[in-house]
Amino acid sequence: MTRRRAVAALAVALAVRASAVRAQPVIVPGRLEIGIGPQWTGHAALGSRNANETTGAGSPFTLFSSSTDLASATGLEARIGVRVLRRLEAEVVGSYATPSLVIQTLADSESAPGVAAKERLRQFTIHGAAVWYVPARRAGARTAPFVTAGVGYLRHVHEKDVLLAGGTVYEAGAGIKQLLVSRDRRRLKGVGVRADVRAVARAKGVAPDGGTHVSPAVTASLFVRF
Amino acid sequence: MIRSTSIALVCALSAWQAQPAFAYIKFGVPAGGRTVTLKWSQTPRYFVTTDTVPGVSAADFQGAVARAFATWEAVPTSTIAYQLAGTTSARPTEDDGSSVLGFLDRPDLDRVLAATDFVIDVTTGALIESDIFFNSAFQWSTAGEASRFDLQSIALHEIGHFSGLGHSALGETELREGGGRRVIAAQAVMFPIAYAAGSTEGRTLKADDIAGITDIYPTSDVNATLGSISGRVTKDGQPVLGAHVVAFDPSDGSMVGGFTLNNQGSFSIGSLSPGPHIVRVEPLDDADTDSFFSATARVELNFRVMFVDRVIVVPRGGDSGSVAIAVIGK
Repeated sequence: MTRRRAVAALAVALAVRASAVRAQPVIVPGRLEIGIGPQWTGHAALGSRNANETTGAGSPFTLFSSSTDLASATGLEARIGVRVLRRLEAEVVGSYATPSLVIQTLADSESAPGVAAKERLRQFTIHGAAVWYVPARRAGARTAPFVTAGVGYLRHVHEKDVLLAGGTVYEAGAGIKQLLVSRDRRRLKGVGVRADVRAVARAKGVAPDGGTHVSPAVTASLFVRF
Repeated sequence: MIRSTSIALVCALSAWQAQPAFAYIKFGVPAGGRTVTLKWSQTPRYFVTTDTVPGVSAADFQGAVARAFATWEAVPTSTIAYQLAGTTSARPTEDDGSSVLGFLDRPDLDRVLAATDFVIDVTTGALIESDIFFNSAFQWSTAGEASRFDLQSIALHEIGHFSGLGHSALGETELREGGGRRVIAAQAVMFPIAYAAGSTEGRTLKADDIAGITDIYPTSDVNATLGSISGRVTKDGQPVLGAHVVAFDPSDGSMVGGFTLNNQGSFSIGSLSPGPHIVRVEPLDDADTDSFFSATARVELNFRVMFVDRVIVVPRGGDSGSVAIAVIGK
């Protein structure tokens, strides 16, 4: 065997081995998945704004300052996913939460005590997402890691059903599905749990600055597959 | 029948001290046994005099006044419009059925830059005539010259009165050693005390002015697109008269003010953008109270400035619902 042939044989052998490792079938059976579970979304700083008056020279005189936050909140998330390729699923995801809008006032020029004024909002999102099952060496037969990304619509409503603002929600992250029950030959093909960690970017919505603000989000859900 | 009444009301703008006026951001006048908003029921026509003062020609005067009228007309949420009827030799204080703007030499009014008075139909509350005089005892300019008062800025304020607006309290002042007050800053053209001579900052309407003129002369879609905050201010359980209530919109930093106007301590701030607002309450301590209320009104000044501890949401086309505010004595 020439040296060149030996290298080629080694490369083929490695490739075959790597292929063998990655070639594990995606463990989640079935074509359709329905899931529901709690979602926690972290707080988002929505910007600050001064209450300015104008001096005779045209410069600002700050009466007081304010900063706005959307507080962290726990809500509910539901999803329907359809397998479109062997490792790829398309999902429609809806969520509901009731975060508080918090506007803090400070540095009042007439020494008014600062307050953290609050009002609870209702936040609805609906978005489409792609889920890509990642090949993994150490994943068990019932465990499927994945990455996900999506985009959709955000709606902030005051408790009195007053629409405050709409916006766009972008999400990207990763997670894992753990199959608890798998039944290949039945209509209900599997039951499992799913955990996601995502970055959620909310654009516009109730943000006073109209900008995009990123928060962490964690979701745990129970799913069934058909 | 219509009875014309000249009221010495008097929305004067002074460099040091304002003359009496009442109001929130719009005037209420008794008519037919009830209080109605003072406003024009038709497009007001006005004349300008051809009198001149040092530094201001007749053309300068007409140009500055025209720009000030145009500034009010440009408010997109208001229907107010004015019509120049021509020049006149009449004085701007005669009750002759014509609205006249011009200079008048009033050295006796040594703290009054300009003043507006009205003739009102007391059966309907409609404006019939409104005259504005600019006190030629002061030095004037239309070009922002130092040490001279800016005619366009002062005209913009007086035309606010001419249109039915009262004074705003959105400003900060400090007492002067010789008496009167000096403006530190303001956020309303309708603040009763003028910027110092040389400043042209009063040429631009602020959110409070725009809300006021919109409240009186709204376009047809305003009621569906803007909202309001209303409520009541109390101290030790008793209603407070004359509290200055300011709605701050954190989306654009704008402020619109109103007052508690009656014996129930009620207030209402209209023409607000929908969305979350912060509400701040303060006593009327940056100008004489008779710049806003009649001299006999028992305006409460003894309470601390404070913020309402919840976000007030203004609904599109609606009201926030009554906001209860309990202030604390100093």
